[in-house]
Amino acid sequence: MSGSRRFSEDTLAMLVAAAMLCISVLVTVLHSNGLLPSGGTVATAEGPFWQNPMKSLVSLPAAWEVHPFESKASWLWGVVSAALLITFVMSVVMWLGRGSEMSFWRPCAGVFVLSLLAYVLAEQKLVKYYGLEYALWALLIGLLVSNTTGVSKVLRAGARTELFMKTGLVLLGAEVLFGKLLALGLPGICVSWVVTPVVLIVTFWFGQRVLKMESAALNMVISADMSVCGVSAAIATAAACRAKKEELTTAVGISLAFTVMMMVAMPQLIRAMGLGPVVGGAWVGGTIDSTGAVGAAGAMLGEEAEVVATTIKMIQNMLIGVVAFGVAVYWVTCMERSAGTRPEISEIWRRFPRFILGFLGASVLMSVLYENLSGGADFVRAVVDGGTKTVRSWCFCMAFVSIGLETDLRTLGKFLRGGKPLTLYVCGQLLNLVLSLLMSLLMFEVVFPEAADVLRK
Amino acid sequence: MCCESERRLTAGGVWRGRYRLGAALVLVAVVWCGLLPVLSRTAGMRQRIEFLESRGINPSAKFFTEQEAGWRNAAEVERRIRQHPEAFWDLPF
Repeated sequence: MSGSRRFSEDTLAMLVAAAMLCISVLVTVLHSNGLLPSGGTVATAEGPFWQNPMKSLVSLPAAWEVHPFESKASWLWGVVSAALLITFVMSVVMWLGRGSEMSFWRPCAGVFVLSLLAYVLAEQKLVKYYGLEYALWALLIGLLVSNTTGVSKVLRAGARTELFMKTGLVLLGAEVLFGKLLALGLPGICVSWVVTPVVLIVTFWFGQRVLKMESAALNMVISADMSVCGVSAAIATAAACRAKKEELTTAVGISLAFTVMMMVAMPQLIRAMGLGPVVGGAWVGGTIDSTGAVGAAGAMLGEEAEVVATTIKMIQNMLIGVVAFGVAVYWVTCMERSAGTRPEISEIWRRFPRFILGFLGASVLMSVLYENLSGGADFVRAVVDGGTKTVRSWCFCMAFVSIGLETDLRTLGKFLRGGKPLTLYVCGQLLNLVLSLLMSLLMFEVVFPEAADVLRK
Repeated sequence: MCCESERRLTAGGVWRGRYRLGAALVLVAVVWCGLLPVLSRTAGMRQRIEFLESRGINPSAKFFTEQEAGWRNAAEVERRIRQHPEAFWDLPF
């Protein structure tokens, strides 16, 4: 790109995310206090009734069965508003940060249009039922364009994978609420906090020492997406350890394929093994990668299993921040250092991916508001549900389109050569299955049987 | 600024690329507008899709905030833990 380079991609991403978060908070506060023309509910003695009108103004395509416009044609206006908001804020921040790039709106809009196509494909109800999320279709659309007609100059300028991904990650931080880590008491801590890091570390060690993976970053991304929570964890760790785009693509592809298989197979297996709904739900929550697939598999086992499965997964979701921070620190201190030397603090700080600080900052801010503000839970939900979640989803989708646009299909093959990534995933997932089952049985059958009784009521 | 994939393409390659892209788009249209709607309207599949929708579950969610069930179930567990904190926090030994 031309122009005098002033801000790094991390800084630009943090500025865009901060702007989006501020807009969502401001609109929620003004609307809920009746200070916007759209009006809000009058404040009560306990405080305002938090609402965010952005929810209906900035949206994603709706789910569809026969054609995309069958139920809520109004989603199109929400998508147009989202496009205007994202391209405007991104262009202004690029102009501020890079001087001569106010013209970024055109490339940004081009990538947005491809993302819209990916989202529409992902929202078909059968596709959605099997958890084949937009990341897959965004990658494929990008790959299709780049490997057939080639990428035009405009699209090439818009394919800013790092900017979109890091902006999405900082916004994701606003959804990581530390209080939720304790959501299921000690049993939840043991199933999620103990098993997940153990599986992550052992799988990474296995990949490095036993399989001797050529790429440590690919090893880490696969280990994290398998043990933590699928695509979102893969994105966060890939950014934290500076994995190549092809490595993230490989990890996401493997994770999505196994998620579909496990979503269908695990409820059958749990029934065949005669496990109860609480242990079965905890097992599903601790092992299936994708958050949505956990809900679907849990629901197939009944209401109690669904509640336990989604809660365990939610706790794992909260681990994303800790894992991303830990991976970033490990990478700059251990993996990127010269042999035999210990990097100085200033060197660690120079290499540290700064967007992680934005991610943690957003997380701490929203966690404090969630716990301490009057009606904090409603406020955070209004801010997240109303605005930041939608923008974050668009940013991730645009990041995957960008990866596809920048990837040559022929280079993907070398990352799967020898079957090592697949072997790593399968071995790690087997360990995850065994440890999660043992810990779920120990916690809910032996140590805290009363907790299981309470959850069954 | 021209990308590598663009540079590789000769004049004949450009048209071949366009034909391939067109063919892929036609295939996508046939699958998404023809095959998938038919499959998703079969009685068994429709029942399963409607069941998940009624439970507020989005099977393609990436984070708990992307599905209604995530918020609802977390609130339900919080309520139960508040009523019986000892069952979740007190070790039996």
